[in-house]
Amino acid sequence: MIISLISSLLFYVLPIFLGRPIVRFIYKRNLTYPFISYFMAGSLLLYASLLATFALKTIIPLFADLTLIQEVVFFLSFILLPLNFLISKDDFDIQSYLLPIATSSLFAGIAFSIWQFHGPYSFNWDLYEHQTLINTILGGNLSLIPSRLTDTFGFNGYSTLFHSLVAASQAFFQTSILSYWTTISFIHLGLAIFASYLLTKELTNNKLIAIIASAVTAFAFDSSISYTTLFFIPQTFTALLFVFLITQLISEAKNGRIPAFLLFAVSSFFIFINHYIVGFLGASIYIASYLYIKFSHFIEEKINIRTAIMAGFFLCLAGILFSSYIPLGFINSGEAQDYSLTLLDKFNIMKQSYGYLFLLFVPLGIFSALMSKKRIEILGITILVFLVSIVLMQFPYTVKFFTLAKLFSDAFIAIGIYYLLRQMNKFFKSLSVIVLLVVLSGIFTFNAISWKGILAYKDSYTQVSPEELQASEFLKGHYRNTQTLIVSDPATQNILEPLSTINSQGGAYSNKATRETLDEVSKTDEANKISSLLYKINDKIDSTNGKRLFVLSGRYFLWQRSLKTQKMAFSYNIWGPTPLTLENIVYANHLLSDPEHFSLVYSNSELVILEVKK
Amino acid sequence: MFIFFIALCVGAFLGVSQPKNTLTRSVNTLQLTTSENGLSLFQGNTGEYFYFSPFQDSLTYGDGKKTGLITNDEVKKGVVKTNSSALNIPSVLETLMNYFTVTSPSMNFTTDKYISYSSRIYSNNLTITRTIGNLKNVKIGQTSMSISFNSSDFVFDKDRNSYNYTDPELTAAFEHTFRTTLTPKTDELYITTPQKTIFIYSPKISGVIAIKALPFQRILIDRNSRVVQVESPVVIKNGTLKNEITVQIFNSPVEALKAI
Repeated sequence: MIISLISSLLFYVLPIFLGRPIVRFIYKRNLTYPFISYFMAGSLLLYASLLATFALKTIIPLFADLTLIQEVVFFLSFILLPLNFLISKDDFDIQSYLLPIATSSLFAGIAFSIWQFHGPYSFNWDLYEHQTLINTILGGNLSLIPSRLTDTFGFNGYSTLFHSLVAASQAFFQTSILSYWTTISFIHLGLAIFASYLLTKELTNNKLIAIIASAVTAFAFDSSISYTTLFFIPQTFTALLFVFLITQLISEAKNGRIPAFLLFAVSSFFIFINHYIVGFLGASIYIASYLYIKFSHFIEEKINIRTAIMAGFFLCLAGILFSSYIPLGFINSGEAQDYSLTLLDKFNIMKQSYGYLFLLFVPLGIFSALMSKKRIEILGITILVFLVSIVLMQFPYTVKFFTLAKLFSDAFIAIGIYYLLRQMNKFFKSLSVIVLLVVLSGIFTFNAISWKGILAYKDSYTQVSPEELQASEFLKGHYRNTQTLIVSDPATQNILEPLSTINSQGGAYSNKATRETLDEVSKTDEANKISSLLYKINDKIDSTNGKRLFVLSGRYFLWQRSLKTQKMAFSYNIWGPTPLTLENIVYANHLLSDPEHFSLVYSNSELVILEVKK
Repeated sequence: MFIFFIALCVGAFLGVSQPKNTLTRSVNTLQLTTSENGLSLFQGNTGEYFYFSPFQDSLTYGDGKKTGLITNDEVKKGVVKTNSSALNIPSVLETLMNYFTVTSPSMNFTTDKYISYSSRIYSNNLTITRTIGNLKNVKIGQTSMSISFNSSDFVFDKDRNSYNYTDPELTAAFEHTFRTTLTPKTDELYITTPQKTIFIYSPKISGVIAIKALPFQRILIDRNSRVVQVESPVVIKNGTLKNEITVQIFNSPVEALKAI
């Protein structure tokens, strides 16, 4: 646990101290919230160095044996970390950070305890596919494009920046993978609450509103598609950085400054390559905000801001209303269809995350902010309305963009709540805050119950069982660094591949051909036919003529019993551990009765692993 | 303003979607949940359920007449009311306490009688308590509580007597896998057994349900209705009849047979 904590903290701390000397060298004056700029500069330097070293490694045979990560991190640390002691201290008012740190820690502790109640590991299903890519980087391979490193990634929605940073933080300690992801999820939640506090504080200059916003961020979890606070993945990490950048921009603007162009450009580039779609929108908003603040006097002279806001509002409304009439059948097919949600679906997602809190208090918050007529609050409203409009448009995946809007929504919910609280005396104000916290934690607990229900397993809620972990350890011990391919249902592959480091075709995202082949496997009892079908499955990036290990897990059998359309869909998986049944054991014994084609290598109550012979 | 704020907070909470799996608790490898039929044990999304339900439990009156706790007539007339879908303060509190394992699933039915099924879970032990209220001026001789099983399930006792038809291939696999031999006792549809423990094992799930009778109780296997009944003498106190059925969940038949 301690090692996981150190390793997780390294993800943030290492780039900050690598970037600090560079930012301070280029940019002499003190910045507000400088850690965000240090982090981005240090991360980009580390990533660029890794890519450059890998390029050298492929060209110069002398470097071929480098494991890459450790050498690069040591080299950069050796050069840059001592410089931190030489440069002057940051103009850092620690007092001003105490309240947000205490608030974030408290709310993160409570929320995480509720969410993880009887859950030993993070519920982030995507962590397994990301860890597969991270393992490849730890193994000494790197490319800007994820799909060139592993066939788990069929769609290149981001660069490998996020994965390289995680790999750098995992490279120095032998940590349990699941423990690492659980710990870093907690830190991510704490940082999201911290960001919520800072953003709201900058928007309103009011500590109580900032505390209320922190509570809303902690307890109103967007548990469908966007997953801002509790899942540590590229899109949520991008959103967090976006909020920190906007907060920094607002703070600088309030001090009559704006960040230097170089920092601004680097930051925009960083969030873009961290997630091309979410990052592009985030970077566009950041750039627009930057330009608005930089040229606000000129813009306000030339344009009537109120008219512009009204025009923008009607444009957003028109976008929501008419987006469903735009013929986009060609992008709404396949997997995208599962993420093409109607307004009613989106309304239900909102209810699940916020109850009616969003509907009741966001309009009140916007009204209250409009009354104040402060430029910064108007900027916040514009960003919120714009992002929520995009979320509501009838295109696939738009709910993902809520991850950018989440903390702005929470800020305006808090402003709306405060609009009512400010009219109360101290006693009723305190009582109201207590009632609010009870209601928020109730909504959150209901959300957790709905979300975790299908993951009930023995005395816990989990996506991975101790038996699967034992099997992973067995595979790691016996088949590591061999030309072996695991073949099973997508969920079993998703879990076993990153934890055992043994390759599979596509992990959770096995391709159509593999799924068709497995479907054919389910239609025959002939061991020799099954064997030859299993040898048809191969990884196109890292193809092998080596062994096939057929993993007959409880999940595999349940998946095989599913409809063909379900088996073909990426959005369908057997999410929870599933023990083997007697029927499953009978099937495994049937295959084992043909020793020419199958032999037993491992079994426990949840899976049987067979070595397949040609 | 305070009252208005509280009203808004309550309103905000009312928007929350009631979880479908509101009341689910794990009992070893199985889960116990509520449904329109009562309480049921299940495992993941295997689709196999084992019910404790008033639709399968019965009362035997003094004149020997046996009726279900809830009759078909009552169902047809729509007089059966349950506490399953309402979002009110008690149900919210129950849901929250159940999540934090302070309480266990329970289910109430109201006809002319009040029938409740509550549960207690300790480790792999599950006790279902059934309370029937509003039973004044009725003479009841016997009552039974039951658990349902499915057509392909193995129903057997510690002497390896098997009380349900099962697929021969699966039976052979059962015997081979668990190194035991089952003796079919399937001549009658209604079997009364002197045994105090009966096991249910489904080939479609893992885990074994052991139904345990107390010394004063009797076990019946009704193959026609696919239920294992535990019959108890009746003691009505203040118009209320209270009975219990105890089950234990094991990981495998071997573990179950060893433990009993």
